[in-house]
Amino acid sequence: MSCWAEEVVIESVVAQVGCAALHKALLLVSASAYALAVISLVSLARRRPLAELRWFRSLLLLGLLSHVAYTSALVWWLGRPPFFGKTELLSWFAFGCAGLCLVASRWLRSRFVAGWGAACAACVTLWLALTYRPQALPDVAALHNFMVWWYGFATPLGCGVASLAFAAQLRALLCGLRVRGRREHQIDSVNEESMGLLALALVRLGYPLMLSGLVVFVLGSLEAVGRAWFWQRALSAQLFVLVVYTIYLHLSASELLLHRRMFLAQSAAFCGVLVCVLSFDLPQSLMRGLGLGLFL
Amino acid sequence: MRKIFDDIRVVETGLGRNPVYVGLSSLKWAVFLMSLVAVVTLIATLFPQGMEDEFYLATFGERLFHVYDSLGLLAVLRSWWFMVLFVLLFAALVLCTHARVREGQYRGSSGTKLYETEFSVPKTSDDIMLIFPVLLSSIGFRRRRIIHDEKRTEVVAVRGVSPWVSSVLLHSSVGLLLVGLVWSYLFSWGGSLRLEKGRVSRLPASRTETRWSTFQKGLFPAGAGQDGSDDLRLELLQFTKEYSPAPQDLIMPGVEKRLPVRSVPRAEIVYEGGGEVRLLRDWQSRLRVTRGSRSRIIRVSAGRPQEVFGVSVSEGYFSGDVSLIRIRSDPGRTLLRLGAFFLVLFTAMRLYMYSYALRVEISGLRGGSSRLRIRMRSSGLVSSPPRVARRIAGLLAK
Repeated sequence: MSCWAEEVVIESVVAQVGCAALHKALLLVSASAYALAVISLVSLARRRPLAELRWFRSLLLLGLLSHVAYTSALVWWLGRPPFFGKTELLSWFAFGCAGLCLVASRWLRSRFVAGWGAACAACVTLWLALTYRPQALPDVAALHNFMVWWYGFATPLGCGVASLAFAAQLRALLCGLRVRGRREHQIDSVNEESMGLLALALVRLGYPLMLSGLVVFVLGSLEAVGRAWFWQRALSAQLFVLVVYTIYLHLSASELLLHRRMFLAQSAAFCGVLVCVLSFDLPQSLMRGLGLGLFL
Repeated sequence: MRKIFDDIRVVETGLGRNPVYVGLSSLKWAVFLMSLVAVVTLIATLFPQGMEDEFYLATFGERLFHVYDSLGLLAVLRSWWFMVLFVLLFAALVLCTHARVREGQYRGSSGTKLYETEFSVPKTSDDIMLIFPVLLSSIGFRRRRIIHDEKRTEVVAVRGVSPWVSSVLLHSSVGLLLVGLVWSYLFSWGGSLRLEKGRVSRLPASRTETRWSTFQKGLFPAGAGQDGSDDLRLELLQFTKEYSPAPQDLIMPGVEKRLPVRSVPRAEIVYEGGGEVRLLRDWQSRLRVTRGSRSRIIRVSAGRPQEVFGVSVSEGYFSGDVSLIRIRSDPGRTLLRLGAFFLVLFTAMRLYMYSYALRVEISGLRGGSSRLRIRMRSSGLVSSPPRVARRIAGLLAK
């Protein structure tokens, strides 16, 4: 190899390493801001409404801005929308959780739900920052179809909304248990009924997103890509979540409405969401280390 | 409309007294069937479905593979009993819809929480009734009923797409999808063919010999359908692979094979030969497909199937110069696509779009003022009855 070629190789490697360092740094800033937002939510101003918690909102905004910068850098580097690879889907999932907590904090009302969303975003972003390798980013390859973009856009967002719905249902259950024990002063009228309604509204928000993601992927790509995609754990888990949510929505519109039953359905759906999100970028070594590698 | 607001007991007649009909059209039965579908999809999530035996042996080991296989856990999505479940679900869907259409009752709206509020305005009920219909029209409500007499003054109005309509459309599209799934299970077939240049391969026309069970085991049975004149004949005319030189920035120290690529689209495999690093960008086959006296020449590549003589032909993988061609025929595909499209459309319409059913009772007070009692049911994610009530109050105050 000539000297000129060696220089080119070295420059390219340096550029790639520099790019990776920048991405990692932005992700770490995001993760730290999300984590600090959770800490501020837990430790500061317990008696103030969620919408008035300035530290929480500011830190969340900082994390989101850093996340936007990371995504923009990624788009510039890749030259395509960031909705394909596992890393990109996980990043979008975290962004969706944090964004919803910031934009809809008045609607979410509960500090528990908002904290849950920010904590999810912090964990996933930290995981991405620690395991980020720019070389592992896949190319478009056969997934050049626009409909697959929609899968990458809608599914992580739907999963984020679904995780918040589970948090709201859990909060409703806790409210119910607490009411039986001792009555507390509740800020923002957080009670069993309002949290149940919030969980239902979040499911209604996330259901069409997940459904459209699954449908366009299966119809638009599965057939074209072929047998290698015949079975995908993320898609099966998504189908499971959708079936459970269908039951949930029917229960909510009928006389079969029971909070315990609703919580059971939400828990099952959340397990499906967890499998779906983990299947975006399955940390197989971690799962094997925990003895859960049997089905991987 | 009254049923949405008032809890009136309906006296059952005819089919409503039939316990079998009542049981099969009940929501409990439908939820039970959906729970079974959920269990099946859970199994499908935990166990890879429809793979080859070698994959399962490598993943689970021989003993566990035989246990799972004997329990039927490795092909639940293509099992006949799963399709029976779909048929039962379709029957429940039809009966549920029929029962609700027959009763003229819509649970989705009557089950939602009733929003009630009261406020007073310094106007008589006659004055209010002069402007109220126009006021409701100005904020998008359609009048359904106006009663204005000595006994009572009442206005009933609706706004948005009726949840009843979107719900019926949504469930119809689910029915279409279920029919498509069962149709596809019954009549679809497919498989893989290994094609060498210059050799003609025959695909039996009889679908009983080319079901998905044989597809799962590997290739089509050799020698099947020997005398079939209507067989599909495929001849590989040309098999080409496209390479491109590897960009220098992909040559990372210590990394030799399967480099992920960001700058070259469709490049997946690094080919090393003669000291030169090249990327395999694409591979494609030129085929002559013949059925009876008709013949067509097509070019297929990975991820881009071609329709010919009613079957979908696409490029699979390759081994040397032997091309692996995938064949698939699915007469239920159109139903599936239509059902899926309408399902997404009507689900979004049902869950996102707002709809209000409003009933306002106006009663006169002393001193020329009136009291308005607003009762409202709403559906849709973006609906907000308090916001609508505030808007009505604000407009009346002006």
